[in-house]
Amino acid sequence: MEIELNDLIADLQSLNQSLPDPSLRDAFHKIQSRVEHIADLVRAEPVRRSKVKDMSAEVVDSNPYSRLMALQRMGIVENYERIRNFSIAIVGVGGVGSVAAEMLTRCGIGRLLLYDYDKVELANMNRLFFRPDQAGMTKTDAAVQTLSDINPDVVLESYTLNITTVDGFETFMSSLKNKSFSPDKQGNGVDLVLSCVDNYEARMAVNQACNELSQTWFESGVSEDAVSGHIQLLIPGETACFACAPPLVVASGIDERTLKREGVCAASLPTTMGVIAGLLVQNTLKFLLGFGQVSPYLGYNSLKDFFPTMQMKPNPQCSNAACVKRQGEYILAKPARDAAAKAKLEAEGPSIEEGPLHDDNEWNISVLDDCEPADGTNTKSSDALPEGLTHELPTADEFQNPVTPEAPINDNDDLDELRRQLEAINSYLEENFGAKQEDIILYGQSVGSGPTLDIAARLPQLRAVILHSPILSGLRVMYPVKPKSKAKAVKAKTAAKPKSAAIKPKPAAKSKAPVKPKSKAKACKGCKDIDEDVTGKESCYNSCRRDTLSATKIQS
Amino acid sequence: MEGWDPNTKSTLTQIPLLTTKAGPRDGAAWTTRLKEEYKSLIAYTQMNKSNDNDWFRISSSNPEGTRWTGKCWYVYNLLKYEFDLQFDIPVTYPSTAPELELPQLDGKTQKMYRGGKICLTVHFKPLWAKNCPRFGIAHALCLGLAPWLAAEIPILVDSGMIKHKDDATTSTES
Repeated sequence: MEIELNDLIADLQSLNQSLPDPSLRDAFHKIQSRVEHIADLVRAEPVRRSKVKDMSAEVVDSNPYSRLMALQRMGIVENYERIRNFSIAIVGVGGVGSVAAEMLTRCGIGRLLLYDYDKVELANMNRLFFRPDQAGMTKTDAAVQTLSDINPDVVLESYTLNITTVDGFETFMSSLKNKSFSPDKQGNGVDLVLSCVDNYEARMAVNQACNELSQTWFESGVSEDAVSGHIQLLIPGETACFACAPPLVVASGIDERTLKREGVCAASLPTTMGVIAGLLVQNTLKFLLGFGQVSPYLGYNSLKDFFPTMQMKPNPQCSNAACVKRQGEYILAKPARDAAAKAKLEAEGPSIEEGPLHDDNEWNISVLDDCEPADGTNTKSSDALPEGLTHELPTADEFQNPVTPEAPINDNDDLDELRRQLEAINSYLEENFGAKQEDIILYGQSVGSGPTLDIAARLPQLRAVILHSPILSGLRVMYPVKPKSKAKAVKAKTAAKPKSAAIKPKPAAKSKAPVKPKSKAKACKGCKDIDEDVTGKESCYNSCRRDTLSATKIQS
Repeated sequence: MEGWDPNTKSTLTQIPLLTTKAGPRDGAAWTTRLKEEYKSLIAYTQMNKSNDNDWFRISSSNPEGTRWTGKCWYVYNLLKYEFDLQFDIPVTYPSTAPELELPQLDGKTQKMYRGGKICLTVHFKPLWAKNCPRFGIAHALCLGLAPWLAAEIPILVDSGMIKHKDDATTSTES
């Protein structure tokens, strides 16, 4: 396009020189300048910037990282460039996840792993990031398209899968473990997992994976009424896992599971989602680059602009086995942790005089650390009940031995046997008598021809189908028929067909009209209107037939 | 369980409860759980048949028992409406309930998530959570899918969103 425009400009110039009439010059110049303007616009078309090898702190317009590197000069971050070594997994690229991904991309994160199975829809346009022209693309593809334009330095990996399915979960786990990006890293291949999903099942799946891999993660969520949200840091073993206490139970008294998911009737606002994504990424940066304090839980109530924070200890009775295992490891590692903390404290400040704060202690007051688990003797004394009273519920400490199932599980049943039984309920002959489908002949008489045809339609290998006076007795029940005329109508019909031939049910009533009106009876109006297509043209079952019957009676 | 009709309640009490808490990644324990699932499904199907209220077929479509496919149907105005039924056993099963899917109804009702997953959030998920791990697939069908069909199918039929298969064929032929 640019070349064409240049050609056009050259043509115009040569034309300008050979222009005979100078009065046209002005108009001609106008056209020329317009074309040049268009050419400028075309030249300004987005050009993808090339990758940057090192982050520079140089303050020039062309340096994408100058404002970020300035964090070092301001004394906030010690070494910002470390961010290029970090990998972040974002599960759920929706209202929060996509914005978080964009923020991290603009911050120059090393590697982003994106997981989602959904597609971009126009209904998503009330949130940030995705554009209407991306409707129909998978969210992961659309995100990669935009993010790689914004910052080509970021390594993007996208996974279009559902992590709650068995296959999806395995891929999810192995992608978190994969260390090809930074082989000498300890632990897993990612530094942090950000859960930005919109449903309980997916959160539980992320929780399961991170507990098993001992992977620190952030949970985030926005309420279905779009006016509050939260983020929560989950360090397996150290803080409560998602199964220990679902956060919204604490936050609002609503059980998390009663919340509806997006797509059914949940509301959403770009503002709330943007705020939550901002809080999430801010804490992510603090966690990765080691500045400030990382919030263990941060709520956001937009109606009152209230930001509650709190800390949650893991639940020793957590239903998630991996969480309990991590808790055990955390307690075991306590001495090492204490030593490290002490060493850090000593390194930071010269030893502070640890003399008594007050010289006299008239009331013998002593301070106990309430973070430490109390000694057994202490708990006993505080829990001691007056005689005659008992606790209704068992205490947490007595939980240790898991409840054994009351009834011994009958392991004699074979899985295949059970599966066969389930199928067998619906195929009695085959299962109970070992009859092959090819050897079965279905026989249906009268009204029974209905179910016979239904079964026949389900068994492709059937040998034969016999329909004996199909549907006739049904008619007889409704309209008494004299044996005389019945004899004419009844006719055993056999339809032996070769294997695998699909059996087409024939409209039984079409074969014969059960009753012909005798000549004396007039055909009633109903004959024409109703029964034309069912019984031919001769009779109907309305008043006309009554006439016929009376006529027959008279005759006999 | 308030608000459930006595019929469903009495049916529910007769479906055998499960005991093993194991998901598809738990190896031998999952096999035990799968056996319990089959037993309760067999009992439920037999009960339905003996009460002349047979309304679904479901079977595992892979040997691991993680994907299930089948049919379910609902009779309305003496016409039978039949739909494909499918679901995956989630990795976090039985902590989270299976998400029952009726792919043929995808996009036809608001009471559904993308991909034809029926909305179980309000009427069923809390029950499931309270009864984990004693509820299984049979309970999910009895308390999750059955009430959903009873609530949704009449509306879908009356509004013309779904047509009986006989009507559908005649309209395409003519």
